[in-house]
Amino acid sequence: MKKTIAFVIIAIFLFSLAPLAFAEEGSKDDTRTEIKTKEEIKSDVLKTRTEIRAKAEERKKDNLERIKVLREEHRAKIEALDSEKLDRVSNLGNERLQKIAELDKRQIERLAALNIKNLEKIAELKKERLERISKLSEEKIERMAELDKDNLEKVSDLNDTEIEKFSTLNRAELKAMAKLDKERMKAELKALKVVKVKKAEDLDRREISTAMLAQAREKFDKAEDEFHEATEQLTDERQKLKEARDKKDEKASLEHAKNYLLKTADALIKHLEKIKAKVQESKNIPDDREAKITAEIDAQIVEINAIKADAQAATTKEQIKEAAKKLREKWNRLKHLTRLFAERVVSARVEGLVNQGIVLEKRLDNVLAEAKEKGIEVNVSAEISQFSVKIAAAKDKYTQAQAKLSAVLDLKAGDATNEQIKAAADEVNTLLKEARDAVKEAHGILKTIVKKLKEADSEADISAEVEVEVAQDTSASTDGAETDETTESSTEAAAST
Amino acid sequence: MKKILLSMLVLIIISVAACQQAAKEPVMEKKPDVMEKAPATITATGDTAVDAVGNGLNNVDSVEKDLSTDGLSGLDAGLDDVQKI
Repeated sequence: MKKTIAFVIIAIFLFSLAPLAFAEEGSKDDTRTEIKTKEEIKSDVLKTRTEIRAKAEERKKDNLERIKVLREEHRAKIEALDSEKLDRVSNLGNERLQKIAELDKRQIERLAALNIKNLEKIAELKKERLERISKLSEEKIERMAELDKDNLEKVSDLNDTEIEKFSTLNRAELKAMAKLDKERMKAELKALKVVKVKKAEDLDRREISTAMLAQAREKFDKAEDEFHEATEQLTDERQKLKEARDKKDEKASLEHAKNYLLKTADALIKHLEKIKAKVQESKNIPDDREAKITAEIDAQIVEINAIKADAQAATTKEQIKEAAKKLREKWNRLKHLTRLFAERVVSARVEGLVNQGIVLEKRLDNVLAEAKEKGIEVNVSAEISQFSVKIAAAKDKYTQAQAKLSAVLDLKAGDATNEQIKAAADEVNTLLKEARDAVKEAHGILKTIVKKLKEADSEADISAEVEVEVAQDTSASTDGAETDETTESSTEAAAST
Repeated sequence: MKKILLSMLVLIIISVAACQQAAKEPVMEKKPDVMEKAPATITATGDTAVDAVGNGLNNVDSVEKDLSTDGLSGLDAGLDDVQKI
C-alpha cells in the first residue's frame, strides 16, 4: 500500500512537469515561427524593393522615351532632373513638356518641384506667362499654383514686379486679390511694399525706446493706484453726503458734496492718464495719431482741472451745484470718448497679433520647405489656408475699426455729438471683438499645425527668427486712409452747414 | 510514513505552483517594455511663437479691462446726489 502511494505521488510529480515541458516546447515553437515570419517579411521586402526598382527603371526608360520628342538641348535639361521630378515633368503632354523644356534649368527645377496637379495647371499657361511665373521662388510658385486656372491666367499677365509683389501676399490675401479685375489689382499692388522682416515687431508702426516704455508703464501703474484711491474715496464721500442729508446737516452736506466733486475730477483725470500711458506705449499707433490722442487727453485734463478749481473755490450750494453740472456734462462726453481712445489701444494690440500671424504663416512655409528638403512630407496645407483666412479676416476687421475710429476722433475735434461718439464706439467694439475672435480661431488652428509638424519632424521650429518677405500696404497706414475719410466727412459736414 | 508522504505531496504541489508562477513572471515584466515603446503624444506645443499669440490675446483682454469705465459706473448717481443738495 505504501509503495502504491509512493508511486502515485511520484506519478503526480512527473505529471506536473509535463505542462512545463510543453510550455517550453511551445515557446521554442513560437520563436521558430517568429524567426520564420521575420525571414518571410524580409524576403518580401527585398522582393518588393526589387520590384519597385525594376518598375522605377522601367518608368525612367518610358520617361526618357517620352522626352525623346524634345530637341537635344532641351532634353538634356529635363534628363538632368532627379527621378521624381523627371517622372512628373515627362508625364505632361507634348505641348506642355515642350514649353517647360524651353525654360532655363533653374526655372525647370522650380516647376518640377510642384505636385502633378499644380504642375499641369501652371504648364497650361502661355509661354510668356509661364516664363514670368517660373522666375519666382519654389515656395511662391507653390502658393500661386493654388489659384484657380482663370485667376492664375489673369495674375500671370501682370509684369514681373507686380507678380513678385502679388506672390508675397499671404494665401487668403492672394486669393482675394486674384478675384479683383486687372486694373484694380494693379492699383492695389502699386500701393504694396515688400518688406523683409525677422519678427512681427519689425512691422510695428513706431519704435519706442525701452526707457520710454518703462516710463509709460510706470505712469500707468501710478495712475491706476491713484484711480483706485479716488474711486474708493468717492464711495466714502457719497455715503457721508447721504448721512449728512439724512441728518439735515447742511454744512456737512456742502463739505461732502464738494469733496465728492473733487474726487470725481481726480478719478476722471486718473482714468485719462491711464489711457494716455497705454496710448504712449502702443507700438502700433502711429506717431501722428498718438500725438493727436495725447493732445486731446491733455486738453480734457485741463478742462477737468478748471472745473475742479471751481468746485474747490465754491462756498455756496449754488456754486457746488453749478460745478456738479459742469462735471456731469464733462463725464457724459468722456464716458464715450474714453471708450474710443481705449478701443484705439485695443485695435493696436490686435494689429500686433495679426502681424504675428502674418509672419508665422511665412515661417510655416519655410519650415515646410525645410521638411520637404529632408524628405518629410507634412500635409497641413488645408490648415495653413484656414489659418491665413482667419488672420486676413482679423486684419480686415481691425482695419475697418481703425478707419471708423480715426474718422470719429477727427470729427470730434469738430462737432461730433455724444450719440455719434457712442454709436462709433459700439461699432468699433463689435468689429474688434470679431477681429479678436478670428485671431483666437487662428491660434487654435496654429496649435494643430504645430502639433502635426512636430509629430512629423521633431526639429520643426516656427519660433526661430528667419527673414521672411511680407507685403505691406503703404496707403493703408490706416490713419492715412482715415484722413481721406475724415476729409470726406468734413466736406460733407461743411456742405450740410 | 504516511505523514512523510503527505508532507512530500504538499511540497510537490507548492513547488509546481511556484514553477508556474515563475514562468508567468517574464510575461509580466514585458508589459513595461510595451509601454515604453508607445509613441509619445504631444499634449502641448510648448512653442514660443504659438504661446506668444496666446499671451497676446490675454493681454488684449486685460488692456480692455484696465481701460474700461466700469470703475466709474456709480458716477451718474453720485453727481445726481450732489445736484440734489
